[in-house]
Amino acid sequence: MLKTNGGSAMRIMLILLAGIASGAPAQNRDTVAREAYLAGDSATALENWSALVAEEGVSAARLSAMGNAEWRLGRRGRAMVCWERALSLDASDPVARAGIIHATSLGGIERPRPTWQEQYASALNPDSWTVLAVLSFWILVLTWAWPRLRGKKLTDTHHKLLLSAFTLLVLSMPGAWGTWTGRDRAIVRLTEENLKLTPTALGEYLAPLAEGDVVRTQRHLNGHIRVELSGGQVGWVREEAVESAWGITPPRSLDTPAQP
Amino acid sequence: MRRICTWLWLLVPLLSHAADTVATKITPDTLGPGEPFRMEITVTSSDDFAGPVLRIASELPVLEFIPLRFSGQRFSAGNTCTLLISGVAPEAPGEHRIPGFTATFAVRKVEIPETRFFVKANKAGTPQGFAKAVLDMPDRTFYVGETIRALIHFNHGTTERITGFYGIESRSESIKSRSTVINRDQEDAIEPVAGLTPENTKAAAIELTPTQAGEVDVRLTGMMFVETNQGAGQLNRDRPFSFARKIKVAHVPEKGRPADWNGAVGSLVAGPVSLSNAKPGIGEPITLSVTVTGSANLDRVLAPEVPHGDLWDVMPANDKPRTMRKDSQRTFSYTLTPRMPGNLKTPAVRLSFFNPETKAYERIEFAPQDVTVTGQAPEKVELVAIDPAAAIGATEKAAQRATELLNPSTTEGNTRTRPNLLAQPYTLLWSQLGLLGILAGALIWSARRDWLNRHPEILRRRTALVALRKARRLLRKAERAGDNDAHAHAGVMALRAGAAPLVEATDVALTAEDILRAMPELVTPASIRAIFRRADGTRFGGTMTAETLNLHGDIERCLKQMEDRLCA
Repeated sequence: MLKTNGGSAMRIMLILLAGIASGAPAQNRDTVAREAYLAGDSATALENWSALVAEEGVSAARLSAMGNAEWRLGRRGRAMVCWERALSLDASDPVARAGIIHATSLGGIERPRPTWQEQYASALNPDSWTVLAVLSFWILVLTWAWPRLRGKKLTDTHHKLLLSAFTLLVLSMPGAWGTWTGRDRAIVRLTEENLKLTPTALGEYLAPLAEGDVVRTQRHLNGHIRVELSGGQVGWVREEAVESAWGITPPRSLDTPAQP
Repeated sequence: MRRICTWLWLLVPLLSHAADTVATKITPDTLGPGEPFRMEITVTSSDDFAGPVLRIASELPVLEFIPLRFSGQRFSAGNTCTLLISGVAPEAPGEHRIPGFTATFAVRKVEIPETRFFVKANKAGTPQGFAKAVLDMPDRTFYVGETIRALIHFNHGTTERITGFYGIESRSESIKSRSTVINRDQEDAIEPVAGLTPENTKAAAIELTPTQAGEVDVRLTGMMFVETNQGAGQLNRDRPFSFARKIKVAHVPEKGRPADWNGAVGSLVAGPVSLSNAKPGIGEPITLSVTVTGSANLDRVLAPEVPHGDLWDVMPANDKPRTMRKDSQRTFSYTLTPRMPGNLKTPAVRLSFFNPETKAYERIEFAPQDVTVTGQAPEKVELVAIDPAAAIGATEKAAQRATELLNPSTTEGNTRTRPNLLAQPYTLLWSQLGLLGILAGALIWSARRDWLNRHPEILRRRTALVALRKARRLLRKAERAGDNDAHAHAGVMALRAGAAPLVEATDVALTAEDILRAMPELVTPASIRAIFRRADGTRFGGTMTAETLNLHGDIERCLKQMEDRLCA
């Protein structure tokens, strides 16, 4: 779909050189990254967006863009982590949604079907549900408790407030619950990983896992984590083979670093 | 009748038990320390043996100080078989025994009884005469899977010389032994056994691997060639040797065991690291070789796992065949394929091992190597594909949407470095529980306050009790100081304070009679009236000088009664 011509390549080179010469401020870095991405140089785009994340922090848009670049480089696990994390920051991010739909429909990625609570929760951001639930709970409690503390009786206003807060709490609970269950998901990062029967190095093989597959996580034991696949199969995988779908960082590097 | 007789004739050999007579003879009759001997076991049977003895080599007992070896057997007329066994007497003088064992023949087993013999002591100052083998083995707790390196020293003696050895093997089920290695090159470097010089010793190394924990028997047997100088010339013979030891074997501890420990027990050192090409193109495989050296069970060590990374595809490690590698080192070769361009470092290779000397797990790491990868990362897949079967018009919309998604206008703004609230659920939960606790405390305090407002007498009693106790302390102080005025005033103050809530009146307005009416059970009314007169008399009838200190006990009793009533 995207083609690179000599002119755009030259432009990118000039932008890169200008960026290096000027110490690459954040705006320039973003421009350089987007230009490189459009020109098909996903590696350069990723490099600049990663630097921006280190400088300024993450945003849903930035993680989504990084996910696009990772996918184009064939790094499916990293791409899925980026997109899932983008959705954990902004549940309505269109790029991340499109990326995940593409990965699951055409990319062969397995992703557990969301429960009705999780679908309900996707209407708002995770933090919004949490704030809403906490706020309505405290309004409910304080509306009931404050007059008692002051030695007064509840008025009609108090009763209206109680009813409103209770309704809000009831409506926000499924969202908060969906956010909570959606939090226990992880993405398979390794290319050659299997689901095992027991949490040991020699655990019996149950099913293959593909890089980028999303699994529901349960408890941890002996360096392994119990997971449930999209098909409902349950088993154990090594902790280092999966990465949480929640976070405010780019995907972790799998290359074994040297000891400090 | 004839048929019965025929059956009996057939069954008699089966029902009857063959009678065996066993006689043992040791030659020579008198043995010196370490002297070889020959044992003849003559078995005379009432029945035919129907073949030679079968498993005598494994049935002979393995003894630490009396090595035995089956040399052969001889059949004589009259169902007599003689088993010939050669052995070596122990060094310790005194009576010794060879335990009984079972000799299995083709058709039956014969129980050989224990044999006793006597070893006489050498005369003082006599040098060691006979060749012997000594096992040198570390004295410590070993671990399952560990390679134990033991040395067998062959000491020539004074009249004999050991020219060689063979057939060293372990006969323990829980010990696996590796083929014997003759240390010809290192012969001179081996520490001699006490009292011997390197010139008159030979040594063999043997590797033992315990396969189960607990107290394990190490039973080693072997043969040595012994050359004896005799008057007529040299005589060559082979002579058995054996060792029976008990060693303690434990499992490597689970505590602190790293997840990547793959069975290495011993002491290891990271050797050199080599790279086949330090400047490959992207996607071009290179070979990373790491060598580990040291004294450990290297044969049993699995290659350290290096997982795929974001920058490298890693093929599993290759290892040289055993025939091509040295005993004390292993080399693992990984095939790495770079996935991204730039200045990269190869993945670190780590190997954990259990060190029996320090009894702790340790880890060696092979340093990552610098690699410059040239080329550009290939685009592997397109992000969004358009469905060719879509309705007319939908394709353009989808293409436009895809273009929008592929071309993010900006990624700036609304950045954050704080995780989601539920990412740290316990922080949120505990903070909410803390606030709820504060609220609950406020509600409890409020309820208590309301309850006290509804029961003012409780507050009055408590206030009175505090005032009563304070006045009692003043009373005691005045009594100790011998101050009559202060004593009387403190006593009256205490009585008024204690009686005030009982009559619901102000304490300063109470008289002695009021108090006696409020508490008719007070046992010393006269003392109460007296102390009131002493305290308040000056206000009504002039100076009062009556002694009240002697009423202290009575007043105290009254105040105690009042305090009990207020506390009830």
